[in-house]
Amino acid sequence: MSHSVESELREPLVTGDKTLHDITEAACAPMERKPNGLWWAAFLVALSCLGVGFATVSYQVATGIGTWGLNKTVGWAFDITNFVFWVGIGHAGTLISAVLFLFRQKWRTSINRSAEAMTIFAVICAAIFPLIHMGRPWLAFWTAPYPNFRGPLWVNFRSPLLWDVFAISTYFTISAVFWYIGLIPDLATARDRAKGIRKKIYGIMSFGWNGSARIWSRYETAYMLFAGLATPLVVSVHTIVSMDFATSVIPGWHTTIFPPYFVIGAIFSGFAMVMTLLIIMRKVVNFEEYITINHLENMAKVIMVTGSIVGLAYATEFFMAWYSGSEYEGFTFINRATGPFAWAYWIMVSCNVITPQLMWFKKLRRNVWVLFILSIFVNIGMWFERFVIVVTSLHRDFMPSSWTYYTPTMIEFLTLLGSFGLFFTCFLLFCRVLPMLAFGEIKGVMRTGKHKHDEHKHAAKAHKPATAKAHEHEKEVAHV
Amino acid sequence: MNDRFDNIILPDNTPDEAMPPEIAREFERVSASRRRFMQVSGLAALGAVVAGCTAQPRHVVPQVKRDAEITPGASYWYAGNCQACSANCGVLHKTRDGRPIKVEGNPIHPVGQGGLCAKGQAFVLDLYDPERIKTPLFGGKQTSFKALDTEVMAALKDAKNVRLLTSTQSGPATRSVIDEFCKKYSAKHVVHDAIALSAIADAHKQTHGTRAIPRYLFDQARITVSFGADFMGAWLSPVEFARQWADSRKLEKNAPARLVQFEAAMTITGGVADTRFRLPDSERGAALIALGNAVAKRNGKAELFDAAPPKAVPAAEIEKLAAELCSLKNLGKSLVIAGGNNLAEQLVVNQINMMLGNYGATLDLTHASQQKQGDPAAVDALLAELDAGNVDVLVVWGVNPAYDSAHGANWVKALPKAKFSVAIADRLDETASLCKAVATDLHPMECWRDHEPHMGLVTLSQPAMRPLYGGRQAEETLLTWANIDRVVMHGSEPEVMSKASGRALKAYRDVLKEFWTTGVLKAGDTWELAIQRGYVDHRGQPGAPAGTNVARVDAAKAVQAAPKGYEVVLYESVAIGDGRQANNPWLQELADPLTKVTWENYAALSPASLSALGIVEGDVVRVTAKADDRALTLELPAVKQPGMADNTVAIALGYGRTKACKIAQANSTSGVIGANAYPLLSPNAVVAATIAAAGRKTVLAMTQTHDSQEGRPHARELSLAEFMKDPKAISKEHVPTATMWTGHEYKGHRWGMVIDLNACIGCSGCVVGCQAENNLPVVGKEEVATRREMAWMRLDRYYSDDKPADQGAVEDNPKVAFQPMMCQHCENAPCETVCPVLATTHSSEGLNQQTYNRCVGTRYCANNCPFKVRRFNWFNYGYADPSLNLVLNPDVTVRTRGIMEKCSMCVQRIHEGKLQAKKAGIPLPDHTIKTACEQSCPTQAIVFGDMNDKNSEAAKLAASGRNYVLLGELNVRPSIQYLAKVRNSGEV
Repeated sequence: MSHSVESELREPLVTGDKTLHDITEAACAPMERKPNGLWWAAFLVALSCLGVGFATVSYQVATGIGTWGLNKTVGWAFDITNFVFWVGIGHAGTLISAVLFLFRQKWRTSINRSAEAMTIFAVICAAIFPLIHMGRPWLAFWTAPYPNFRGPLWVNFRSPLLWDVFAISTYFTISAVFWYIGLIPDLATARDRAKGIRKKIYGIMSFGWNGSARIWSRYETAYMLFAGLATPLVVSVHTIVSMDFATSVIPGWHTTIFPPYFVIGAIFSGFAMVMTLLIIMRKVVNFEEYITINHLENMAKVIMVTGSIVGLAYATEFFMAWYSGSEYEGFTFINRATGPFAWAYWIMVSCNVITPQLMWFKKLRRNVWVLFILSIFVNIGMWFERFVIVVTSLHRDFMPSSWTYYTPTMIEFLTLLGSFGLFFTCFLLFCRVLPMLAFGEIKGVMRTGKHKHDEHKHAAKAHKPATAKAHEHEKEVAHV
Repeated sequence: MNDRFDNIILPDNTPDEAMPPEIAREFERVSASRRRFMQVSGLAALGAVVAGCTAQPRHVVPQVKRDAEITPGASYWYAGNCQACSANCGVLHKTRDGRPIKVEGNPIHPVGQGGLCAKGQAFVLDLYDPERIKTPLFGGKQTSFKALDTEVMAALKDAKNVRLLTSTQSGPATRSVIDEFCKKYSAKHVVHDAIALSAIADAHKQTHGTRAIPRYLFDQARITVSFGADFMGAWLSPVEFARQWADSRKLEKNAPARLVQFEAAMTITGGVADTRFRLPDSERGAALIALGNAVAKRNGKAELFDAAPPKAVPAAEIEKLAAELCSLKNLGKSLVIAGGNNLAEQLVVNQINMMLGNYGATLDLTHASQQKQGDPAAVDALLAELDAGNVDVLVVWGVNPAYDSAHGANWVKALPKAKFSVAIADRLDETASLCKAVATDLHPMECWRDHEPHMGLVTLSQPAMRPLYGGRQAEETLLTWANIDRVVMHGSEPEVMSKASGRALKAYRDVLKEFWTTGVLKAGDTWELAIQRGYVDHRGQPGAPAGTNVARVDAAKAVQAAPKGYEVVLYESVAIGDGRQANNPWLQELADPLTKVTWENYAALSPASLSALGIVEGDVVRVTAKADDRALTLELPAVKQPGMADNTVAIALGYGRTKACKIAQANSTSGVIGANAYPLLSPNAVVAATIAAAGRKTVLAMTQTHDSQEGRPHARELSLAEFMKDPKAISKEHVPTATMWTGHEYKGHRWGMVIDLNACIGCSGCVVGCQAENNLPVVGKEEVATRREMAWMRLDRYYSDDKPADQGAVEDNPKVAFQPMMCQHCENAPCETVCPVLATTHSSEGLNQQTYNRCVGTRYCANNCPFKVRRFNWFNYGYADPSLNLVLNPDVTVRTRGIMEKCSMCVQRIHEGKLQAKKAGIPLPDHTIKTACEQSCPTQAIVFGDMNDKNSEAAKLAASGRNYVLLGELNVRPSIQYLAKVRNSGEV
C-alpha cells in the first residue's frame, strides 16, 4: 500500500476521476442503503436453490447414498466432482489476495475482497461434499485426529482423504483470517459512518481500529505475513486434492502431473468464477469505475495463460499414456476421448482449451459480453474436467467385467444446484453487510499522491488552478 | 432388520430398583451425621455396583435341562440329501441353535463328493420361505389334519380310480410307502418330471432290455462327446458329472480328457468344452447318424443309417472325431451322450456307445441311475383320464404339472374334473391351488427320507430341524391315509399292519428305521453309521447287459426337417432350473453364468440373428410359436448370446410363475418374473417360432455388460500343445517388481488361495454358497440394473476375441472363459492405504480385513480397488419378510447402509478352524479350513490354504508353474493365484 511513482503512461486503476471520499461512499453504499429489487430477486432465487439443496441432502442422508446414481464400479461422481470444482473456484481468491499482493500487482485491490469472499464461500461449498458423500456422514468426525474413546484406532495418516481434511481446513482457516484482517480498516470506516446497532456490530468487528500510524504499520506487517502464509496454500491445497487421485492405482488417476495440473486448473477456474461474479457485480452496484475493463482484461490474460497450460496438461497426459506403454493407461485415455463419456471429454476440451484462445485478441479481451460468456464456458469446462477425471477413469478400469456406465439421478443435480444456492446466498449476504471493495487499499493505489505533481505540470502547461477536489483528497489521505 | 435385536434386553442398572432390601432399610434409619452418610452412601454405591453386575437380562429364561446334543452357539452338521432337483447330491445341513443356516455338499457322499450347485446352496432359504402354508386347507379354508384326514379317507374309501402323481422318488422306503398306498386303494402311481429324460430309458429298453437310465462315468472317459446335453449345468446329475469331468482333466496326472460339445444354445458345458460346434437341434439326429456311420465304417461295419449329413458341421470334423473315438487307446474310454428327449436319437447314441465298447466302462447299467423316472406318456395318459372325468381321487405330491408341463393349461381345466383332489404340498402353487384339499408337506430339510440315486447306493436324509410350521411329511400323510404304520422292502412280501384309529401311530422316522434295519442295511452297516454318513453304498463294478443293434429301425425318425423361422430351444437355467425354486431371491438374483442377466428370462439370440432382426440387446421381442396344438406368444427381452446357432432362440424354463411367488410382485410391474415357456416344450419335435420386435425396450438387470477381455491377460488360457512345451511358461512371465518396502511379515499362517481356471465350469455354486455363508443381502432387480449387486464372489465371463479356426465371425463361436473373482487380499492393498479411518487393514495372516463398525463409507477403497470387488451398502438391504432372517449366519455381522464390504476369505471359518486345532493341541492340518466357495465347488477349482506351509495343497499349486496373479505389474501382490486353463483341442 505504499505509494510509488508510476508511469504516466500507465492507465489509472480507478477511472472516473474519483476522490477518496467518492470511493468510501461508493464502497459503503451497498451496506448502508436498503437493497434494491434486483438484489432481492437474486437472493430469493439463491435461497430457494439452497432450500432445495438442503431438502435433497436431508433426503439423501436419511435414505442412503443409493439415491445417487453411483454403482459398484463408479463410487464417486458428482460428489467429488463438485468438491474439486468448488475447491478450485476457491483458488483465485488466495491467489489474488496473497500472491498478487506479494508481486505488487496493484490492480488486484479492486477485486481482491470479492475474490476472497468467493474463496471462503467456495471452500464452504466444497467442504460439504466430502461430508455428505460418506455412507455414514454422522460419523464424519472420525476423520479428525484427536484423543478419543474409540479404542486404540486413530486415523490413517497414509490416506489422501485425511490429507484433504488437513489441507482444506488449513486453507479455510488461513483464507478466512487473511480475509478478515483485510476487512478491519474498512469495517472501521463503516463503523465510523454507522449509527445505533450497526455501529456496535461494526465496532466489535473492527477490533477498536483507530487508524493510527502504528496500527497501520502493524496491520500492514500482519497482512504481509499472512500473504506469505497463504501463498504456499495456493499450491498445497490443490496439490493435496490432486493426490486423492494421483496416489491411487487407477489409470487416469495415477498421474504425476496432477499436482501442477490441478493447481493451474484451479487458478483457471477460480479466475473464471471471479470474472463471472465481478462482471455482474460491477454492473449491478455500479462499480464499473473501480473494476474497470483493465481489471477484466488482466484476468482474461490469466485465464488465457492458465487455459493454455491446462491444455498442455491434457496433451501431456495423452502423450504419457502412449509413452508409458501401459495398456491400461493407454486405454483409459482413448476411452476418454472416444468411449461412452466422450461427450463429457469434448465439452471439457472445447470449453477449457479452445475458448480461452480467443483471448489472444485484444478486442475480445476488452469486450465484457465476450468475457462473461467465456467465464461461464470455463466454469462449465472445469466442472466437466473434474467429472471426466473422476468418472471416466473409474467406469472402465482394469477389469472389463466390471465396466459400467454412470447415470446421475435428479438428487445429484439438485445437490449441485443446492451448492450454487449456498454459494450465492452467502455471496449476496456478503454484498449487503461487508464492504465489497477493499477501499482502504484502493485508496492506496490511486494517483492521489500525484495531484500536486500534476498540478505543477498542468500549471506549467495550462495554468489551471488546483481543484478543490485535490485538496480534499490530500486531506482524506492524511486523515486515513 | 430391526427385529433382530428385539430379544436383547439390557440389564437395568438403576440403583433404586436394584437396591437390596437391607440397604434400603439402612437408608431409612440413617442418621444425618456426615460420617454415617458417607458409610451409607458408600454401601449404597457398592450395592448399586453389585446389583449392576449381577442383574440378569429379564425375560430370558435359561434352560432347566440343557439339550443333550445342543450347545448354544455351536454348529452341528446333519447328513442329508439335497432335494432341490432329482439328482439327490449328498449334503450336510449346518444347524445353529436349532435352525439350519447352510447346506453344504457331503464330502464323503458318492453323488457330488462335497460339491453343490447354486440351487442346492439356495435350498436352505426355501425352508424359511414365507410362501409356505402353515395349516392344511380344505376348500380353501384352514383346517386341521384330523378333519382333513377324515375327508380324504372318506373320499378314498369309495373311490375306484385313484391316481397318485409324484415327482421322482427313488428311495426304497418312500417307494414302498407309495406302493402300499397304491395297493390299498388300487391306485396307479404316475411320475412327473418337468424335464423328463425318459427317451434314454426307453432306448435302453430296446437295446439292452432294461428300461433304465445308465449311470454315467465321465471320469473314465478320455473323450466325451455331448450332443446338446448340458451335463454340468442341468442334465440329470450336474454336480456329480462336473466332478467326474474335472477329475478326468487333472493336468498333474496325465493329458487331460477331452470334451466335444455340439449345441444350439450356449451352455456352461459348451463354454468349457475343448471343442465346441454350433449345431441346431433340428440337425442333432443327422449329426449323430453321421458320427455313427463314421464310427461304424472305422469299425469295419457298413454304414448303419441312411441320412443326409448335417449342414452345420463339416463332414471332415465328424470324420476326425470318429477317428479320435475309434483310436485303440480310447476303446471303452469314451462317452457319447445326447440331450433332448428323442427316442430315435437316443437309440443312435446307444448304438455308437456300443460300437465304442463303452458299456460297462463309462456307462453302467447294473447300477442304473434312478435320478429321473418321469414318464411323460403316463402323465399325458393321466391328463386324458382327468379330462374325461374318469379319476375319482387324485393325490398330487411334490409336483406342479399345472405349471411345469407342456399341457399346463389343460391341467388347469382337467384337474378340477377329478371327483376329489388332494395335494400334498408346502405351498399353494399352480397345481395345489386347483385341488380341493391341501395337506401341508414339510420342507425336505424337516423330513426323514431315503433315496437311491444309483441302484445300490441308498442314501438317508435326516431332518435338520423340527418342522418350522408344524405339518406332516408326505410319507406319513400317505401312510395315514392308507391306514398303515409299517412298510417293508419294495418287492418282497408285504407285511402290513393296519390301525383302526385312522392315524399313523408311528412317526415316519420309526417306520423308516424299521424298514432300513430289516431291508436296506447289510452286514457291516449300522443305522447310526448310515445316518451319520448319509448313505450306504452297495455298488460293485460297473456293468451292462449285452446290447443289440436295433437303432436302424428308428433312425429315420432321428432326422428332422429344419423348421421355418427360428428354432426354439428350451433349457433349464443354472439359477432357476425347472422353476420350483422360483420364489428364492438368492436364485433370482444369481446372474446367469453366460448372459449375466438376473431376475428374468429372455430370448437369447445369436449376434447374427439380432442384426437380422434389426434389434439390439434389451429390445423386447414377441416370440410366436406353435408346439403341437399349443400356440403361444411370449414377450421377452432379446439378449445377445455369442456362440448360439443362428436362427435359434433359447428361452429358459422356470420363469413366469403366477402362484406362490411373492418376490415376483416386488420385482416386476406385472407381478410375474419372466415368461412361462413350458407350453412350448415338445420333446420329439423342433418347435418353430417367428420373432418380431415388440417396439419397446426394457432394462436388463445384468451384472456384467462387457464381454471381451480387451486383450488383457486376466483369464488366461493355453492350448495343450503350449502347455506341454513348457508347463511353467505362465509363471515365468511374471517379473517381480522392485519395491522400496520390506513388506509384511507373516510369522504364523499366511492365508492364500489358488483358483484353477482349468476346473471352473461357471456353475455359480460358489456365488450362492458365499451368499449363504456371509449373509449377503438381496438387492432386487432395480438395484442390480443400477449395477449394485452385492456378490462378494462374482463370476467373470469373457468371450475370446481370437479369430476362430473356421475364419467365421468372432462372435459366432467364441471360446468362453470363466473366472471366479473376489477380494484378492493384496499384500500391498491399494484399499488399505486410502481409507481415512483405518476401516480396512492388513491382518498378521495376510487377510485384508474390513471393519464394518469403523467404516464411514467414503468408497475410496472401492474406487482404488483394481479388481473392483468391493461392495457398498447403498441402502439398508433387509429381507422384506423377516422369516427369511432365520437363515442368517450368526457368525457374520449383518451390515447396514453406508458400509463397504467384501470377501473376508471366510474369516469366521478360519477362526473356527484355528480354534479347533488349538483345542486339539495339534498344528492346523491342511484342508481343515475350507472357505464357503471352495467347499461348494463341484470341481474343486478353489483351494484355500496356508502359503507358509510349503506342504499345503494351495502352496504346492501356487508353485505349479501354471499359476499367475492378476495385474502383477501393479505390485499389489494378491494372495489369490490363478491357474491358467488348458484347452485340449485334440492336436496333441
